[in-house]
Amino acid sequence: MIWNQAESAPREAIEATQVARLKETARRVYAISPFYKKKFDELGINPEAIKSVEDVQKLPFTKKQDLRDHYPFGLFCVPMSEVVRVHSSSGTTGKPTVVGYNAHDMDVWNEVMARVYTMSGASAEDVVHNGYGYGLFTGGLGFHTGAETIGAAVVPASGGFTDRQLMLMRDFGATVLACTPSFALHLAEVAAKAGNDFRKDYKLKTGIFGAEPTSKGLKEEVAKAWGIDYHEVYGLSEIIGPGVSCSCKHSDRLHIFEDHFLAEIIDPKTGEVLPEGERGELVITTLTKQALPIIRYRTGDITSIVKEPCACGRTHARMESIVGRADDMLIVNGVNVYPSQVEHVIANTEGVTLNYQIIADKKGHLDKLEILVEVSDDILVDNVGDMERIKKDIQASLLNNLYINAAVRLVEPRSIERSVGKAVRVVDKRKD
Amino acid sequence: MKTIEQLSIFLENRTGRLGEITRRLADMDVSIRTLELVEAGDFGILRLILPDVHAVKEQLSTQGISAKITKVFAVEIADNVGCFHRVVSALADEGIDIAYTYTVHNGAQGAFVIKTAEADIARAIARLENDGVTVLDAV
Repeated sequence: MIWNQAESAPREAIEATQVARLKETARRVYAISPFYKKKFDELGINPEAIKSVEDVQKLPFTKKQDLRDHYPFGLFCVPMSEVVRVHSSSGTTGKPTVVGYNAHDMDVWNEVMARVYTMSGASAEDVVHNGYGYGLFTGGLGFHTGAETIGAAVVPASGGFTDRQLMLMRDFGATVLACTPSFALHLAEVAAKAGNDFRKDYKLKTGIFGAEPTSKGLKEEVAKAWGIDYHEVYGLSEIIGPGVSCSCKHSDRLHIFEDHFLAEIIDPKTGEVLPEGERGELVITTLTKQALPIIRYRTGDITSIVKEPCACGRTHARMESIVGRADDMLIVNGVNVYPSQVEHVIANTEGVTLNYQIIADKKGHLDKLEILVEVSDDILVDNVGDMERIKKDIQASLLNNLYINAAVRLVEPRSIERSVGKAVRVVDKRKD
Repeated sequence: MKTIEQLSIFLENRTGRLGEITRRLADMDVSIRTLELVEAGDFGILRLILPDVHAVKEQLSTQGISAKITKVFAVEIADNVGCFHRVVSALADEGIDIAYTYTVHNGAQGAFVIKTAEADIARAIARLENDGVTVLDAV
């Protein structure tokens, strides 16, 4: 099933729509946003000069830092009276990245999420168990209103409370599971304690998983553990939230909803656009967003895009499942973490040095983060209570500013491994 | 003032770490007067009273081991029931908090080593001596 025939439009029609919408978006941001007007003027770009999809390459990039620099609503292009929803992700200096939606943007979001659900085999007949976190993150509410759009019954389970979630999935007869792949596997593992034939108690048929990089092996494991179809969803709050792209049952690649998002692949070092099929950094321009239109957003995600039509009937270009990052961002249980954010927290803690190490590992199927911090050479305290307080302060600050639960371990001065004098900041043991 | 200098060493809780420190102290020919090891899960603090804490701190520092010198005081353990209680209640009466305390014994004499806020030490000693408690110059 295909939700919208736009998904299977001929390539020429897709591009005609893209050019018209790109031009309109460029006109709007140039007229309304001082930030974009300045950027366009600096490059000598007039929105009227946009004649083809390729002309997007003349436009300036937008980076995450630009959103932070205009915290909270500085890049919004509609008055607050028109904004109906705000979401945010964590920020480096305690200031998060804020995104906003007007009613039209909510319609766009629900439209692309309806396509995601339909592509994953869900319909109004289904019970959707939504295990994405509800709150400031876009995951929970994006999947929630998307499910309502297709008329499915949605169970807003949010994260955590594994046993209760399993009970709800059984008792409510969930047929669609939406959550991070690692949580899906964790659920299966706990469910299996009831016996190897646990699947007879569940009615799941399909799952929509995303928000973290996922190996082919993990996908197969999740699909096998639950005996369901595995569909991968991709998105980011700066663009819309979940719903930028999704995989159909015919391919591991994810269809990008090209009538709403214009995707390019660039060389992250030079900024040059790469030929079709080559791997590079994904750059996205929103074509229909009004409250927060974004021009050429540097996602930092490494992937490739092909445009050949798919066996499912859709003609929208397909991206590879994300293969890596252009920067040092870590994804921990679906939450984006930059080492610089951790560093900022530690810099504001007395009694410890800025020599730290972030260790990402797996505990069962879930990610766990441990932060090693060297105590300062001239230890300020010699009692355990004060040391414990330092640990708790760092933990609380990480939770408040980055929304992550991390274990903090105080270690001896100069004990963290250094390479050529520089401490090794990140050790990711999840990559085998 | 009858304060005693104590050396505190931060230790990660891993096999052999304490041995590394004690080996260095033995190599330096340091006689340890008192030793207390407190542990808190993944780390611990080794507190030592030594003949010359400054020299030892200096030497450890050149070997890459950080230590901190803190001021504590010691009172004699009188050989009667309730002596510790008298010390504790006198300090409580003065509104002085004890950060931690431990006992030492050198064969002939026992002592309570007491850590309070540095600003409270003089007052604590004065009160205890006034109450007839023997505050020691050394342990």
